[in-house]
Amino acid sequence: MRMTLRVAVLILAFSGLGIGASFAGEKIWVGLYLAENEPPPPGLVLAPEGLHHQLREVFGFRHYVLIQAQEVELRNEWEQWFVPRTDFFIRVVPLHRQEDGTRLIDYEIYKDGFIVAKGKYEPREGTPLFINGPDYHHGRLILVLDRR
Amino acid sequence: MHDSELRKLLLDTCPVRPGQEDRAWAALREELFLVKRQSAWSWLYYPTWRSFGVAAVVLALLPVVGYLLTGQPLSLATADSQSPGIYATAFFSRPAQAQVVWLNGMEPVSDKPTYLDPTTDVSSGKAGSAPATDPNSL
Repeated sequence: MRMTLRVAVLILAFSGLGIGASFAGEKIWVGLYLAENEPPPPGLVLAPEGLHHQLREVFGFRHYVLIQAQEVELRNEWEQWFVPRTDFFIRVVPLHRQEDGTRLIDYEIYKDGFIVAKGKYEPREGTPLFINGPDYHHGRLILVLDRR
Repeated sequence: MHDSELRKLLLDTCPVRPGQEDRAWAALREELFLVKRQSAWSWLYYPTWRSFGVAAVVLALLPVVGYLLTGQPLSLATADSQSPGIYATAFFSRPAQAQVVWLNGMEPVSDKPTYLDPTTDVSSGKAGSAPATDPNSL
Protein backbone atom coordinates (compact mmCIF):
# COMPACT_ATOMS: atom_id res chain seq x y z
CA MET A 1 0.00 0.00 0.00
CA ARG A 2 2.75 2.34 1.00
CA MET A 3 4.73 1.40 -2.10
CA THR A 4 1.69 2.08 -4.30
CA LEU A 5 1.33 5.48 -2.71
CA ARG A 6 4.98 6.27 -3.40
CA VAL A 7 4.64 5.24 -7.03
CA ALA A 8 1.52 7.35 -7.39
CA VAL A 9 3.31 10.37 -5.91
CA LEU A 10 6.22 9.86 -8.30
CA ILE A 11 3.89 9.59 -11.29
CA LEU A 12 2.11 12.76 -10.28
CA ALA A 13 5.39 14.59 -9.77
CA PHE A 14 6.74 13.60 -13.16
CA SER A 15 3.41 14.43 -14.81
CA GLY A 16 3.64 17.87 -13.29
CA LEU A 17 7.14 18.25 -14.65
CA GLY A 18 5.93 17.23 -18.08
CA ILE A 19 3.06 19.67 -18.03
CA GLY A 20 5.41 22.40 -16.88
CA ALA A 21 7.84 21.57 -19.66
CA SER A 22 5.09 21.68 -22.25
CA PHE A 23 4.07 25.15 -21.16
CA ALA A 24 7.65 26.37 -20.83
CA GLY A 25 9.21 28.12 -23.78
CA GLU A 26 5.93 29.27 -25.20
CA LYS A 27 7.14 32.83 -25.29
CA ILE A 28 9.84 34.67 -27.07
CA TRP A 29 11.48 37.70 -25.63
CA VAL A 30 12.00 40.52 -28.11
CA GLY A 31 14.30 43.36 -27.21
CA LEU A 32 15.92 46.31 -28.92
CA TYR A 33 19.47 47.06 -27.88
CA LEU A 34 21.64 50.03 -28.69
CA ALA A 35 25.20 48.87 -29.25
CA GLU A 36 27.91 51.46 -28.74
CA ASN A 37 31.50 51.72 -27.69
CA GLU A 38 31.17 54.74 -25.45
CA PRO A 39 30.27 53.84 -21.89
CA PRO A 40 26.58 54.49 -21.27
CA PRO A 41 25.42 56.78 -18.48
CA PRO A 42 24.56 55.02 -15.22
CA GLY A 43 21.06 53.81 -14.60
CA LEU A 44 20.49 52.21 -17.98
CA VAL A 45 19.69 48.53 -18.36
CA LEU A 46 22.56 46.64 -19.93
CA ALA A 47 22.51 43.22 -21.55
CA PRO A 48 23.07 40.33 -19.13
CA GLU A 49 26.55 38.89 -19.13
CA GLY A 50 25.89 35.85 -21.31
CA LEU A 51 23.98 37.81 -23.91
CA HIS A 52 26.60 40.56 -23.77
CA HIS A 53 29.33 38.09 -24.77
CA GLN A 54 27.21 36.66 -27.56
CA LEU A 55 26.42 40.12 -28.91
CA ARG A 56 30.01 41.23 -28.65
CA GLU A 57 31.17 38.11 -30.47
CA VAL A 58 28.97 39.04 -33.43
CA PHE A 59 28.90 42.83 -33.47
CA GLY A 60 32.04 43.81 -31.61
CA PHE A 61 30.64 46.77 -29.66
CA ARG A 62 31.62 47.21 -26.06
CA HIS A 63 28.26 48.14 -24.51
CA TYR A 64 24.69 47.03 -25.18
CA VAL A 65 21.95 49.15 -23.70
CA LEU A 66 18.41 47.80 -23.61
CA ILE A 67 15.99 50.32 -25.09
CA GLN A 68 12.78 48.35 -24.84
CA ALA A 69 11.62 44.75 -24.51
CA GLN A 70 8.45 42.77 -24.88
CA GLU A 71 7.33 39.17 -24.62
CA VAL A 72 5.44 37.51 -27.43
CA GLU A 73 3.15 34.56 -26.72
CA LEU A 74 3.81 31.85 -29.27
CA ARG A 75 0.43 30.29 -28.67
CA ASN A 76 -1.23 33.43 -29.95
CA GLU A 77 -0.94 32.58 -33.60
CA TRP A 78 -1.67 35.99 -34.92
CA GLU A 79 0.46 38.99 -35.75
CA GLN A 80 2.12 40.81 -32.90
CA TRP A 81 4.11 44.00 -33.16
CA PHE A 82 7.14 45.16 -31.28
CA VAL A 83 7.51 48.86 -31.89
CA PRO A 84 10.29 50.32 -29.74
CA ARG A 85 10.80 53.14 -32.25
CA THR A 86 8.56 54.58 -34.90
CA ASP A 87 11.28 54.20 -37.51
CA PHE A 88 12.44 50.67 -36.73
CA PHE A 89 10.16 47.89 -35.59
CA ILE A 90 9.28 44.26 -36.18
CA ARG A 91 6.15 42.25 -36.80
CA VAL A 92 6.08 38.61 -35.70
CA VAL A 93 3.51 35.94 -36.43
CA PRO A 94 3.86 32.64 -34.56
CA LEU A 95 2.98 29.82 -36.93
CA HIS A 96 1.15 26.66 -36.02
CA ARG A 97 3.27 24.00 -34.37
CA GLN A 98 4.67 21.54 -36.89
CA GLU A 99 4.33 17.77 -36.74
CA ASP A 100 7.82 17.36 -35.30
CA GLY A 101 6.94 19.71 -32.46
CA THR A 102 8.93 22.69 -33.66
CA ARG A 103 7.33 26.05 -34.08
CA LEU A 104 8.37 28.70 -36.58
CA ILE A 105 7.64 32.36 -36.48
CA ASP A 106 7.31 34.65 -39.43
CA TYR A 107 8.99 37.99 -38.96
CA GLU A 108 9.04 41.22 -40.90
CA ILE A 109 11.39 44.09 -40.23
CA TYR A 110 10.22 47.62 -40.89
CA LYS A 111 12.36 50.68 -41.36
CA ASP A 112 10.73 54.09 -41.74
CA GLY A 113 7.41 52.40 -42.17
CA PHE A 114 8.46 50.17 -45.03
CA ILE A 115 9.22 46.49 -44.89
CA VAL A 116 12.90 45.90 -45.54
CA ALA A 117 13.25 42.19 -44.85
CA LYS A 118 11.26 39.20 -43.85
CA GLY A 119 11.96 35.60 -42.99
CA LYS A 120 11.28 32.71 -40.70
CA TYR A 121 12.88 31.83 -37.39
CA GLU A 122 12.73 28.71 -35.26
CA PRO A 123 13.10 29.81 -31.64
CA ARG A 124 15.34 27.49 -29.69
CA GLU A 125 16.42 27.82 -26.12
CA GLY A 126 19.97 29.09 -25.89
CA THR A 127 20.12 30.14 -29.53
CA PRO A 128 18.88 33.71 -29.86
CA LEU A 129 18.34 35.56 -33.09
CA PHE A 130 20.23 38.81 -33.57
CA ILE A 131 19.02 41.21 -36.24
CA ASN A 132 21.54 43.77 -37.28
CA GLY A 133 19.63 47.04 -37.49
CA PRO A 134 20.51 50.49 -38.74
CA ASP A 135 23.25 52.68 -37.31
CA TYR A 136 22.23 55.24 -34.73
CA HIS A 137 24.64 58.02 -33.79
CA HIS A 138 27.91 56.23 -33.09
CA GLY A 139 26.23 52.92 -32.36
CA ARG A 140 23.82 50.49 -33.89
CA LEU A 141 20.35 49.19 -33.15
CA ILE A 142 20.10 45.44 -32.68
CA LEU A 143 16.95 43.38 -32.33
CA VAL A 144 17.22 40.28 -30.16
CA LEU A 145 14.69 37.46 -30.20
CA ASP A 146 15.18 34.81 -27.56
CA ARG A 147 13.03 31.89 -26.51
CA ARG A 148 11.88 31.99 -22.91
CA MET B 1 45.55 -54.32 -43.27
CA HIS B 2 45.96 -54.16 -39.51
CA ASP B 3 47.17 -51.16 -37.65
CA SER B 4 50.36 -52.91 -36.66
CA GLU B 5 51.14 -53.67 -40.29
CA LEU B 6 50.41 -50.13 -41.31
CA ARG B 7 52.64 -48.80 -38.54
CA LYS B 8 55.47 -51.11 -39.61
CA LEU B 9 55.08 -50.03 -43.22
CA LEU B 10 55.15 -46.35 -42.22
CA LEU B 11 58.20 -46.83 -40.06
CA ASP B 12 59.95 -48.57 -42.92
CA THR B 13 59.14 -45.94 -45.50
CA CYS B 14 59.15 -42.79 -43.32
CA PRO B 15 61.24 -43.47 -40.27
CA VAL B 16 60.61 -41.16 -37.31
CA ARG B 17 63.80 -39.55 -36.26
CA PRO B 18 64.68 -39.59 -32.60
CA GLY B 19 62.83 -36.89 -30.63
CA GLN B 20 60.60 -35.87 -33.54
CA GLU B 21 57.45 -37.13 -31.88
CA ASP B 22 58.26 -35.32 -28.67
CA ARG B 23 58.92 -32.09 -30.50
CA ALA B 24 55.63 -32.40 -32.36
CA TRP B 25 53.71 -32.99 -29.15
CA ALA B 26 55.42 -30.07 -27.49
CA ALA B 27 54.55 -27.76 -30.37
CA LEU B 28 50.93 -28.91 -30.35
CA ARG B 29 50.68 -28.47 -26.59
CA GLU B 30 52.09 -24.98 -26.86
CA GLU B 31 49.49 -24.07 -29.48
CA LEU B 32 46.64 -25.57 -27.54
CA PHE B 33 47.24 -24.71 -23.92
CA LEU B 34 49.93 -22.13 -23.52
CA VAL B 35 49.24 -18.40 -23.73
CA LYS B 36 50.12 -16.96 -27.07
CA ARG B 37 52.24 -13.91 -27.42
CA GLN B 38 49.81 -10.96 -27.08
CA SER B 39 49.78 -7.92 -29.28
CA ALA B 40 49.92 -4.41 -27.87
CA TRP B 41 46.17 -3.91 -28.53
CA SER B 42 44.96 -7.27 -27.27
CA TRP B 43 43.68 -5.66 -24.05
CA LEU B 44 40.95 -4.02 -26.14
CA TYR B 45 39.26 -7.39 -26.65
CA TYR B 46 38.95 -8.23 -22.98
CA PRO B 47 36.47 -6.65 -20.57
CA THR B 48 38.85 -4.77 -18.30
CA TRP B 49 38.46 -1.42 -16.60
CA ARG B 50 40.98 -0.02 -19.01
CA SER B 51 38.98 -1.06 -22.05
CA PHE B 52 35.77 0.24 -20.43
CA GLY B 53 37.43 3.59 -19.82
CA VAL B 54 38.65 3.86 -23.38
CA ALA B 55 35.20 2.90 -24.68
CA ALA B 56 33.57 5.58 -22.51
CA VAL B 57 35.97 8.25 -23.74
CA VAL B 58 35.40 7.24 -27.35
CA LEU B 59 31.62 7.31 -26.89
CA ALA B 60 31.81 10.74 -25.30
CA LEU B 61 33.95 12.09 -28.10
CA LEU B 62 31.85 10.66 -30.94
CA PRO B 63 29.25 13.48 -31.03
CA VAL B 64 31.95 16.12 -30.83
CA VAL B 65 33.94 14.55 -33.63
CA GLY B 66 30.81 14.11 -35.71
CA TYR B 67 29.86 17.73 -35.22
CA LEU B 68 33.36 18.88 -36.16
CA LEU B 69 33.55 16.61 -39.19
CA THR B 70 30.16 17.39 -40.59
CA GLY B 71 30.46 21.07 -39.74
CA GLN B 72 26.83 21.64 -40.51
CA PRO B 73 25.81 24.94 -38.93
CA LEU B 74 22.38 25.25 -37.49
CA SER B 75 20.02 27.05 -39.77
CA LEU B 76 17.25 28.43 -37.67
CA ALA B 77 16.38 31.53 -39.63
CA THR B 78 15.92 32.77 -43.14
CA ALA B 79 15.99 36.34 -44.38
CA ASP B 80 14.81 37.82 -47.65
CA SER B 81 15.26 41.40 -48.62
CA GLN B 82 12.08 43.23 -49.44
CA SER B 83 13.49 46.58 -50.39
CA PRO B 84 15.84 47.62 -53.21
CA GLY B 85 19.33 48.40 -52.02
CA ILE B 86 18.96 46.40 -48.84
CA TYR B 87 20.57 43.01 -48.58
CA ALA B 88 19.58 40.44 -45.99
CA THR B 89 21.75 37.52 -45.00
CA ALA B 90 21.05 34.90 -42.37
CA PHE B 91 23.81 32.83 -40.85
CA PHE B 92 24.67 30.95 -37.72
CA SER B 93 27.49 32.32 -35.61
CA ARG B 94 29.18 29.33 -34.03
CA PRO B 95 31.37 31.29 -31.58
CA ALA B 96 28.35 33.23 -30.35
CA GLN B 97 25.97 30.29 -30.66
CA ALA B 98 23.40 32.61 -32.13
CA GLN B 99 21.51 33.00 -35.34
CA VAL B 100 22.21 36.30 -37.05
CA VAL B 101 20.27 38.22 -39.66
CA TRP B 102 22.50 40.84 -41.19
CA LEU B 103 20.87 43.71 -43.03
CA ASN B 104 23.09 45.83 -45.23
CA GLY B 105 22.28 49.07 -46.97
CA MET B 106 19.93 50.66 -44.45
CA GLU B 107 20.10 54.37 -43.85
CA PRO B 108 20.99 55.29 -40.27
CA VAL B 109 18.16 56.28 -38.00
CA SER B 110 18.21 59.62 -36.27
CA ASP B 111 16.31 61.61 -33.70
CA LYS B 112 14.38 63.52 -36.35
CA PRO B 113 10.65 62.89 -36.40
CA THR B 114 9.50 60.46 -39.06
CA TYR B 115 6.32 60.67 -41.06
CA LEU B 116 4.85 58.13 -38.68
CA ASP B 117 5.00 60.64 -35.84
CA PRO B 118 1.93 62.77 -35.22
CA THR B 119 2.04 65.92 -37.32
CA THR B 120 1.48 67.99 -34.20
CA ASP B 121 4.85 66.86 -32.96
CA VAL B 122 6.50 68.03 -36.17
CA SER B 123 4.80 71.42 -36.19
CA SER B 124 5.28 72.05 -32.51
CA GLY B 125 8.97 71.33 -32.68
CA LYS B 126 11.03 74.45 -32.39
CA ALA B 127 13.47 74.91 -35.20
CA GLY B 128 17.07 74.55 -34.19
CA SER B 129 16.38 73.13 -30.78
CA ALA B 130 17.55 69.59 -30.22
CA PRO B 131 15.13 67.37 -28.37
CA ALA B 132 16.11 66.31 -24.90
CA THR B 133 15.36 62.69 -25.64
CA ASP B 134 15.02 60.59 -28.74
CA PRO B 135 11.54 61.37 -30.08
CA ASN B 136 11.38 58.14 -32.04
CA SER B 137 11.65 55.97 -28.99
CA LEU B 138 8.26 54.91 -27.75
